[in-house]
Amino acid sequence: MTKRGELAFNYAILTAFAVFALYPLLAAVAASFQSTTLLEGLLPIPREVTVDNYARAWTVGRFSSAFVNSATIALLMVPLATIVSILAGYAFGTMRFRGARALFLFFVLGLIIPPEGTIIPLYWDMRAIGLTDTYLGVVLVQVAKAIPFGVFWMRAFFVSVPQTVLDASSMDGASPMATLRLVLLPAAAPAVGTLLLLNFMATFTDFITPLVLIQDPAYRTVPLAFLTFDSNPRAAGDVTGQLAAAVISAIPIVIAFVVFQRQFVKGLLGSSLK
Amino acid sequence: MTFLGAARSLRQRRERRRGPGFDWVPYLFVAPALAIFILFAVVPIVHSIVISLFEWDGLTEPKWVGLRNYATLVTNRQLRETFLHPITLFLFYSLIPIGLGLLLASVLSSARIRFFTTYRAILFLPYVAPSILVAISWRYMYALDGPINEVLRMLGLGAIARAWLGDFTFALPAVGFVGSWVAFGFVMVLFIVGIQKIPTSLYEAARVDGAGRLHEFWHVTLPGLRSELVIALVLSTTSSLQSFTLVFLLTRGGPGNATNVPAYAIYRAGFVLGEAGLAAAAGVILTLSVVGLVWAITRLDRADR
Repeated sequence: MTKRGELAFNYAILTAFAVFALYPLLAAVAASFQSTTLLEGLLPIPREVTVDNYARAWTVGRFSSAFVNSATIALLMVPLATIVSILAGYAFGTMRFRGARALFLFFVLGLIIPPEGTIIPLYWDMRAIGLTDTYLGVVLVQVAKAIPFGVFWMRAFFVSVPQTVLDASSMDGASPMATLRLVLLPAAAPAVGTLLLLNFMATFTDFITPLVLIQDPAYRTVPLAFLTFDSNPRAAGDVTGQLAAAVISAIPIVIAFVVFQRQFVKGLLGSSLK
Repeated sequence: MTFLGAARSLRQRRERRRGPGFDWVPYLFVAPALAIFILFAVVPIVHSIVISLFEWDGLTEPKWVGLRNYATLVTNRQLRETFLHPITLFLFYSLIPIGLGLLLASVLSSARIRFFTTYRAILFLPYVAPSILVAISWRYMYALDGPINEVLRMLGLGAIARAWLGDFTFALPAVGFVGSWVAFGFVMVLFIVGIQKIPTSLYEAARVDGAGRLHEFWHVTLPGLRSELVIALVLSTTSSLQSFTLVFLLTRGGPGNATNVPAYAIYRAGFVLGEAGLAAAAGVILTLSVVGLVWAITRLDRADR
C-alpha cells in the first residue's frame, strides 16, 4: 500500500470508530430534546429543541432533592476516601514495616472482590446498626469500595519519590506527617487530583449501593432518581423523558470531566501501569 | 527559629524520651484505611459465608441448611445458565475490545496522525460515560424503532430488524456488545501507552531483517504489549462477572433468564425473591470465581515469562 493510501486508510478507520464511539451518546442526547424519538435522517441533531422532556423528568424523578443528596454524600465521601488513601499509600510507599507486603496485598484483593459478594449482608448489617437510609451509611460503604484503588494509586506515586528527598526531610527533623504535608503533597497534586476526580465520579454514578441501602425516597441519590423516573408507570412509554432523565444524571460527571480532563489524562498516563 | 529547626528540637526531645522501640507510625497511617475497609468490605464477605449456610427471607428466623444452597446453585438449571452467561459476556468484553484496541492503537501510534489527542479522547469517551447514560443510550439504539433497526431497514434488511433486548437469542450478545463499545477505547489507550514503551531499536532491527508490517506487528508489537494484554484480560474478567447496572437497566435479566448474570441474580434473589441465603451463596461463588480467574490469569502470565 502506498504511503498516501496507508494514511488515508488510517484516517478512515479512526473516523469510522470515532463515529461508532460517539453516535449512541449523541443520538440519545439529540432525541432527548425532541418530542418524538425519531431522528431526522438518523443524524444526531435534534429536529426541534424542546425542554419539556427535561422539565418532566426533573419533577417526576425528583431530581432536585436527588442532587442535594448526591452532593452531600460526595462532599463527605470524596475527602474521606482520598485522605485515608493518601495516608495509607504514603506508609506503603515510603516506610518499611513488618507485614507491609501482606497488608498491601490485602487491599489489592479488594480491587477484584465484586460488590455483589457483599451487598446482601451489607444491607442487613447496616440495618442492624441503623445506618440504612442515612448519608453516613452510603458514604462509609462507598469509601470502603474506593480504598483499594486509592491506596494502590497513592502508593504508586509515593514509591516514585526519590529516597534522597525523604532522607533530607527526616534529617531536617521533620516528622513523617510534616514530610507528607509540606514536602510531598505539593508534588503529589496531579496524582491526588486524579484520585479526587475518580472518587467523585465513583460516588456520583454509584447505582448499587444506594439501591440497596436506601428505601426512603427522600434520600434517593441521582442514579436512583433516574430509576424513580424509569420505573414510574406513567414513564413506561415516555422514551424521550427517560433519555432526558439519563442526561440529567450524567451532567455533573460531564462538567467535572471537562473541567479536570487535562489533569485526569496527565495523571493517568503519567504514572506507569505497574 | 525556623519551622524545621523547631520541629527538629521537638523531635530530638521526643526521641530521647521514647528511645528505641516499636515504631507505631506506619501502622497509624494505614489504620484508618484498614479500619474502614475491614468493617465495610471484609466483614460483609465473612458474613456472606455465614448467611449462605442458612435459608432466610430476611424477616423471619433463619433456618440452618448447611450446603444446600450451594447444591441448588449446581442443580437448578436456571441458576446454572445464569453462571454460564458471563462466559459470553467475557468474549464480548475481552476479544472485541482487545482486537479493536490493537488495531486502533497501532493506527493511532503510527506516524503523522493529526488530531491525535482528539481521536484518543473521542474513542476513550464511552469508557468514562456514566453507566446510566450508556444503558439508556443503548436501550434507545436497540429499540424496535431505534437507529439500529432503522439502518437495517434502510439497507433492505428489515427482516432482521427486531427488539434486540427482548429477543431470547440476541439479548445477551446485545448486552455484550454494549460492553465491547464501552471498553474498546480504554483498551486502545492501554495499548498506546504500551506501544510507546517498546524500544524503537526493536522495530529498526525488524526492518533491517526485511520484515513487513504484519511481521513487525506479530513479532515486535504483540510481545511488547504482553503486560497490557494481561491487564486487559483481568479487567474484562472482573467486568463480565459484574455488569450489574447494565443488566439492570437494559433487560432486568430478561427476557426470561436470557440475560441474567450472577450480579443481578444475587440482587434479585436477595431483595426481591426473599432468598437471602441462596443469594449469599451465589455471592460467595461469584467472589471465589473472580478471585480464582484473576489468580489463574496472572499465574499463567508469570509462568510463561
